[in-house]
Amino acid sequence: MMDINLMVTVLILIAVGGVLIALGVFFIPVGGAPAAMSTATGVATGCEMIVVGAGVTGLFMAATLYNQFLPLVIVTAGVSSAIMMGVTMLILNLIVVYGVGAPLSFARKEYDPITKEHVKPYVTPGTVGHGIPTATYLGGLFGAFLAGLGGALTFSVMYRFTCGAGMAEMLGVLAQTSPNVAAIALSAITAVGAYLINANITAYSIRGVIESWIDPKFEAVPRTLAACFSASLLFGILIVLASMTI
Amino acid sequence: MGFEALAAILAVLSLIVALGTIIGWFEDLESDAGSQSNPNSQVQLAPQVGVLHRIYNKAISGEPVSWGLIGVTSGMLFSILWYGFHLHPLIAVVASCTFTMFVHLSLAVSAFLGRTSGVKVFGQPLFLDVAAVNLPLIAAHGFIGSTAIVALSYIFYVSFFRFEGLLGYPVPIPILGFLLGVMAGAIGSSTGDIHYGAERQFQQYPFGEGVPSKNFGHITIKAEAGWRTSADITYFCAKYGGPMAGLCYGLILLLDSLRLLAGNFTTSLVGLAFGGLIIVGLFATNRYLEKSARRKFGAYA
Repeated sequence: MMDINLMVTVLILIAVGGVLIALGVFFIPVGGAPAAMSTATGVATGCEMIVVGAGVTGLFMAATLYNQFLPLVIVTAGVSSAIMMGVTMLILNLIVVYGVGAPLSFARKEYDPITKEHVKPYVTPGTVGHGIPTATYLGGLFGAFLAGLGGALTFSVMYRFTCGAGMAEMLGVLAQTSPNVAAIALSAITAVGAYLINANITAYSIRGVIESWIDPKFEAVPRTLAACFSASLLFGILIVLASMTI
Repeated sequence: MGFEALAAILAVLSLIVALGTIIGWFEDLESDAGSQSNPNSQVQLAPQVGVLHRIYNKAISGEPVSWGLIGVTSGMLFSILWYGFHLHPLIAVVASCTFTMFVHLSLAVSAFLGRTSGVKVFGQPLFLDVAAVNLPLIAAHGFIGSTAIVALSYIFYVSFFRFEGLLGYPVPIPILGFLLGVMAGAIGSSTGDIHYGAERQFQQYPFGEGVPSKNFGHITIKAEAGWRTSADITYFCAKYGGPMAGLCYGLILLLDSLRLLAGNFTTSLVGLAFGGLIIVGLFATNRYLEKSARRKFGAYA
């Protein structure tokens, strides 16, 4: 017989993971297709895509540290996602600077809130910025870290639940010496599903593009997080039922 | 740990980074060859503003999804051949990627026909020679990319169990192929595409500025000689956009694996601190780049 407390804990942790992913998406500067033409500032792809891409690095790390202390696993995975995002944004800026020949800027604010530099004059007339300046770069790092936390939390909790861990093992160190590859497969698919669901809900909320925390769309955070919490809870129920058949 | 074991780990790490670089590089060039990247919006828009072109357009999904499909198809076939039929991994990689290439080609052809016939009402002709010339290019880049993805998945999976968790990831090969493909698509789409979309696609406009919205759709259709095809675009992007996407992928795998090694040789907290150090280094490099670009380029008048 399944432990009902354990199941409720798993569901709540999956829902919290979904909320973290959604919050992370708000922080990542997403420019969509216009950013690929250097017409807008931000990462030049859809927010689901970049979140899944960044999250995958964290999932790999969480899979490698499958039996370690849970908070340590998810923080390490979050840092992995932040590294992926940091490298991607840096290379993006290198291409914008040396491949397109445009300095990094955004038109949303006159001054960069972090460096207090005047950024508006560096915006090409007719565009709303290009590349990822310091303020949004920091937001991107933090957003990827949060999204990585959420994905790794979903992954690790699902993995431990599928392996039959108790409450102490679920939140602490897992007494396992070799990984259960079938459970890792299920948990990785679950985590990618969680990324796609929550990033998609957030994408509706930010209408596809956002300039990190300096964007007015950031006000939609509470509503979106509530929506993501309920969607992830439903997703968690379905996936927990599915994992019982293994 | 002996010197030989350490040398083996570092050798595998360098192989991982090299394969990662190849994945990012060829993924980006494949998307440029088929205009699958974000700039496909301009290729699709061009006939609507009266600009008829001879550029291949096969975008029916985002790059990450498309490359996730390529990764999972080749990874699954590889697993069947290697694990099920006990084929040598090298033969299994080639066989699985050859099959994946045909799946990729069938999608590329149907997407090209569909996308181009969608803008027929604006007078855009469907050039069959464009398909004939560019398909081998797309197939070749896709084949190399998927080979690298499967080889990397195999190395990650096997080295985790061989090195007792020091390097590699214990994720099944098909899932690993899917995840590495999605990551390759996300990276290629967010870095290398800018070189195609903001520079090569709008080359008749001055260098050194983003593309204003009023120029959207007015893409460059004449090449150095004759009409521009996707092969010209790939030739140009192979000089900067593609290698940079490869550098990005390789750098991510290098930094993340170094961090994993640092954590495994000491304690996890040291690995965490090392990760924090890497992030600070990335931030500082970006800040330097931002300052130097603004100083050198100056403001727009």
